[in-house]
Amino acid sequence: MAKKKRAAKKPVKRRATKKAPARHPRPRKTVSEVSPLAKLDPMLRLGASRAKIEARFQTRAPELPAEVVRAQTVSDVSFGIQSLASRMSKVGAERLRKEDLVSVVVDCRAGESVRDRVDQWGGCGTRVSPSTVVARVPRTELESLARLSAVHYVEASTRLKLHSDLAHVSSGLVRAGVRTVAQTGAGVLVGVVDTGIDVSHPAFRSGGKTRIVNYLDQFTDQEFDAAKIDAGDATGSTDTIGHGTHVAGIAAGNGGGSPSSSLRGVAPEADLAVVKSTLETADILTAIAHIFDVAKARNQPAVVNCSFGGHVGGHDGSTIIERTIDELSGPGRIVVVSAGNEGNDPIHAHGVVHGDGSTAGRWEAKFSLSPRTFQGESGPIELGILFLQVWHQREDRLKVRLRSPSGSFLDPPAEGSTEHDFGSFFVDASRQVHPYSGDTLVTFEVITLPQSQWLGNWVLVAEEVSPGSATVGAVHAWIQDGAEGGFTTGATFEYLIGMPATAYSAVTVASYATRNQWKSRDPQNPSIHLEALALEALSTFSSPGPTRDGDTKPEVAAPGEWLLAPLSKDALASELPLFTRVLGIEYVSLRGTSMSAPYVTGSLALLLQKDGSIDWGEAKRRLIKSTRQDRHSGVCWNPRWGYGKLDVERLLTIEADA
Amino acid sequence: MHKLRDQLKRPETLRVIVELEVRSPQDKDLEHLGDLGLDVERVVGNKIVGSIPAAKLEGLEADDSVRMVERSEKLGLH
Repeated sequence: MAKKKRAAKKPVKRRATKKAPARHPRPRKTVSEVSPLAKLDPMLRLGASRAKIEARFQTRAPELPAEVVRAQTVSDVSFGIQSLASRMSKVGAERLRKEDLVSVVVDCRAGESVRDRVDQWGGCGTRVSPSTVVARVPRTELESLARLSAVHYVEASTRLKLHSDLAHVSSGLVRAGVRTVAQTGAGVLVGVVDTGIDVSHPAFRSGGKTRIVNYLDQFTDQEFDAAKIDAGDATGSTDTIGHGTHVAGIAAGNGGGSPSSSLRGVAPEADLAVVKSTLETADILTAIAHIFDVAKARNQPAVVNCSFGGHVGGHDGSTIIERTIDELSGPGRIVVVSAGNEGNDPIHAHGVVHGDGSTAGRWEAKFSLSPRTFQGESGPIELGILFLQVWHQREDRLKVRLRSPSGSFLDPPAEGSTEHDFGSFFVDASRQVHPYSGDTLVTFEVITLPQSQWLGNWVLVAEEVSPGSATVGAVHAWIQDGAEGGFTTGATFEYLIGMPATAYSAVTVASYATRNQWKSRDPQNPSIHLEALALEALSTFSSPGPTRDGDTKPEVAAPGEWLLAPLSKDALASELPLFTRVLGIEYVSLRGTSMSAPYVTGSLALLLQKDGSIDWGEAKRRLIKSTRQDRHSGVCWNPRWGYGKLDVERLLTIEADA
Repeated sequence: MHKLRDQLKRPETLRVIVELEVRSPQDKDLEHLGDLGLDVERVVGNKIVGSIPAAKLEGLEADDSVRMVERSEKLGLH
């Protein structure tokens, strides 16, 4: 199929005045003497060609697929146009096939005359500027319109696609601007335990009413139902951190406040139950139970999001809060927890204490403390304080102790606690058998003066009590918080999934990147572009597994870097700086496994809409079975990616296991 | 005297999560916890959320009706 050769034309300069500068900064080439089809938007060339075919055979060709034009039957349609046409939405193609009038935007001179000709052909037009006419033109006259000497170009009036968040494309939730799944979360309760929510944000309102059916403020012990929220009673329970509003928006925002609602969350029609929490484990436990109580009262399935964690406990799901999550979870009751952001933190050390039978096995890991300011009895005080928890199997008879910078050894007692006070440093050492797991836990609380000679050169030592006294000999040690200090030797950068994400029933979520640029409100950085951030790659901060008892967590990785979601109007600048705030709309760009977890929460809300009786086990099975793997994830399961990337479309197509 | 530690403010009351030996605690079980100094806030199964004077914590841990006591820890946002 020969392409028509386009004649080289001399550029025609458009007249420009100081008052009304030319619209186009570059001179435009005229195409008036080439084929009129060259002046037609390729989308319209398809329509004009189809009109020709139909005119030739005096009939419509309904059997011809609207979105694919066969080259052998349409001589003047290039493969390029076929390709373009094949990308048209089915709805758009169907409209083009059925309707005789085609909406166009005409770039022309003498707009009045063009409009008159359109009227003569039975169409209608409006001159919106001296050089622009918008019109509805009979499809059979498209080519005639393009032939008019006054017409520079005829462009199809195109329904623009939503600027869906890039995360939705990556997760398979949106393809070519259209959601791939029918579910919206309707009838499902999405629970959010977090820093609160901006109840006034349009993303959480629908039809003039709130979508938040219950809002509990644990700081004030106030509880609001939807009627109270709509009455304005909850406006005092603000989200000054902005974390909870963002998290809720990822899971279940409806896009309100964004252009064409384009930044909608995963489950935009789900109901919301939110707890503004102190984030103390006691209150978190209460919050999760409260949300499931709300769901029960409303007879709804529910999925609760927990975008927080910490490094206390055995990292094996044995803490009380984790086992309570297990007990509260069941059919239609699922809890999702973020894996954590400690992927780069040297807060875990692991060794195997195994001798050769004739000598006692020994393992060491060095660590140091970071000086911090605390509130003392008589004002601020600078100290180094570090909590270290060391776990090993009870059957392994090990001696676990610290060596101080001065060389002295600090032992815990056989059972209970002992205090060691050396003036410049203080150590509380304790040993206990964990009541649930039966493993041995040795805890050290280290307090030092802030001088460098006391902050560094601490050594954790684990050794067999006697040669061969350890059967397995595995020792795991966690520093509670990276701000306290870190291991300088022996750090593994594994086993970093925090509590309560190590709960057996919890769906634990890692993070990968889907966005590296946005327009910000920061006048110093109006266009954020993080060039070094590779899209689709794992977020370096994402905490890797497995759990201490070998559970293959995280289960799944989801978009968590950087996601655009609702901005709380009460968020402090110190919490959400200007560069994170999106220009022109009340949305903010944040990253973290805090963001990837609600992405999965919303996805499971879609799954629960499909089948409200699904429990966490079945949900995990479908999640795992539906994940996708690529060159970034490598072979899965692995400690950082889990079983791979979330694929929402596939998740919702997998059926119950026979 | 532990000079370093004593310079820090220590809470007089601790918030705790208590796991009981019984699966379904009755009123008498909760009353018993009250006798041990626990101010019960919420019951979730056999897990009890409450607060207790720091001086009474050891007594709570040692009680036969109590399987496990955890201090309520503040977790960090991810």
